[in-house]
Amino acid sequence: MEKKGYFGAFGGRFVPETLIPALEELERNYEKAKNSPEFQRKLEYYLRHYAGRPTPLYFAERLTKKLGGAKIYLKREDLLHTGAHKINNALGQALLAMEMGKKRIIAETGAGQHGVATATVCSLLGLECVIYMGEEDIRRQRLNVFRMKILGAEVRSVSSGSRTLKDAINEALRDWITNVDTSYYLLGSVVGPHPYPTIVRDFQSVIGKETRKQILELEGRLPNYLIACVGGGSNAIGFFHPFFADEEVKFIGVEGGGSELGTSASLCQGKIGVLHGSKTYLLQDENGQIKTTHSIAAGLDYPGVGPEHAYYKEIGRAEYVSVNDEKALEAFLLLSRLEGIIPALESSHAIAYCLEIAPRCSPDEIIIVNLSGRGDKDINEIMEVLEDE
Amino acid sequence: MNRLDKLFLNDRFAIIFYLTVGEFPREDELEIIKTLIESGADCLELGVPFSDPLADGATIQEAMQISLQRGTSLKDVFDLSKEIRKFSDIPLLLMGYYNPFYQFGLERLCKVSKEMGIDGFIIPDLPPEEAGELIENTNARDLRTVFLLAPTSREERYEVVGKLTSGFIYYVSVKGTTGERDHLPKDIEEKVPKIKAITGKPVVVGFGVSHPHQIRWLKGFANGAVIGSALLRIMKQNKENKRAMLEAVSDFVASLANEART
Repeated sequence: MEKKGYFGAFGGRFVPETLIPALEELERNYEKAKNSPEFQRKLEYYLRHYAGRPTPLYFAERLTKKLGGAKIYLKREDLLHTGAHKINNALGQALLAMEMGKKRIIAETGAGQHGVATATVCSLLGLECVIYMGEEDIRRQRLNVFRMKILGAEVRSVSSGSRTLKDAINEALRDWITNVDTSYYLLGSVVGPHPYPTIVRDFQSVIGKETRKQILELEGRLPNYLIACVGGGSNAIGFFHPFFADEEVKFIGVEGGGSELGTSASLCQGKIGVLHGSKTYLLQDENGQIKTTHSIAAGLDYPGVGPEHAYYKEIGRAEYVSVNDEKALEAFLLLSRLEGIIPALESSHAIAYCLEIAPRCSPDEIIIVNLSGRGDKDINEIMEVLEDE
Repeated sequence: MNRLDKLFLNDRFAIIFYLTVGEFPREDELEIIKTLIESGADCLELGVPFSDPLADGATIQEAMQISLQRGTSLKDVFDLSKEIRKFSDIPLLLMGYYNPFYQFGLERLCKVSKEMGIDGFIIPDLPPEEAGELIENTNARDLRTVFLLAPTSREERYEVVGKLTSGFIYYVSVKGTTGERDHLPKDIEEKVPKIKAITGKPVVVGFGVSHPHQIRWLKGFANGAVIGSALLRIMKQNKENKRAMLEAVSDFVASLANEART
């Protein structure tokens, strides 16, 4: 029997005592909502009529031809309202917060996509919204900061530590510890203490469920590969999980390999440890201090990873690889020119790995890449990088 | 023998001081610790710095950052403990986040701690449910665990936490991170006696304690108090002048000890 709140040896609830009762309350309320037809109906309504689900499963014909191997499909999460898969989880959790009578929402954000999604649903549902964001990410993602402000959220700059996503999570947790009675912490990835990795996975599983149905309709069979980028890992786990029992479908998670400035490939290069409430793979030094990470994609720039991914790695259900900044950038440009789709830098990592393996596959094999977000938010960053070159 | 056993003897109200190891150069650090002990500290918490101290407010965060820039590791903390043992028998607790301890290895942690004169552990992000392996190792070596209870903890939890605590219970006075507060919540007065009654363990109050008048009040129902951020602030304010710093520390500790002993 697996220990409660664990995926194999990973996960758990490593948090200060003050938060334990809040996590227990969250768990109880989530179970209730999960089994409530009325809650599920409400969520489905907003996902369909507000967020724009279902998203298409698109056959990338020109890309397939160019690579000359496997048939490549793209799951178009980039077409969702606010531009990424983050809205799936933000909607689910905000509705849950409403059920729990919490009127103040706090959240962290890296690339800003989760922040924008949270600010959006808070505006939609009339909730107060405070977003924590690292100073460095605020610089990289100015456009998203401005979007959040337009939507009525308060964006708090975090200047401690590496000034990126991990520090934003620290600060959000400090806020939650202080305002635990009135506030709901809307965590944006499959990380953190139990039950967050499960809640976020469940709300993101809509991606994999739709994909499974769509590919069966289009091809009459399951795919050979699913490829998704992994920072904390929410788009990947939501994409993979509904295929878990389909053993013939291979999962590939692509981490941010970074550059000479550093990496954010926790599963490929990290060691097991405890951060932000769960036991998982972490980038850390020999003394257990968390390392400063780097990736061109702010959304991958995190030293940990969801505990369920650590579990998939351990049991060999998924393979985890990394793609560096340069290759991600090439994939970004290639998909833009070949398919007229500007992918997010995060999703570009998944595309880049697809470019690598597709030519080695036979034409009757199928690869589906989860295109988790669109690249509009990255235009400033890309302009800077390309001008430097 | 564990030095914590004597801490609360004869209804003594223990004043416990926290400092982040490595915030100051070793020589100064030892002088600060001598001053703390001479001025009336009953027990010390040696803070192990961590890159992501999510239960701490600005003062301790900053101290940890300075300490890490100095390259402080667990080895330095043990070296300090060994030095302290040359001149004092004061109970020593390691206080820190779980990951550095976990990387060191829990069995090795307890073995080395015992050898270096450490008496127990406070790990704020390790609730008792996750502490099975630590408890096995502390029990095997007569080291003590200190678990925390908070204002949000329900009464059902008091018993669970009490059973697994072999040292004392650390009651977190406020919902929030570490740091000084002028006013502590009034309900501590009801919660602490209830925790004592249910668990049968000594209960020490921490987070926000900084004034003699708070000690006077807490003395009426708790077994001790932890002072952290206030001490760190006093040290920081006087960091340019060591003599002034030691004097300020001495005065501060004496003012609290005075309340505790009268």
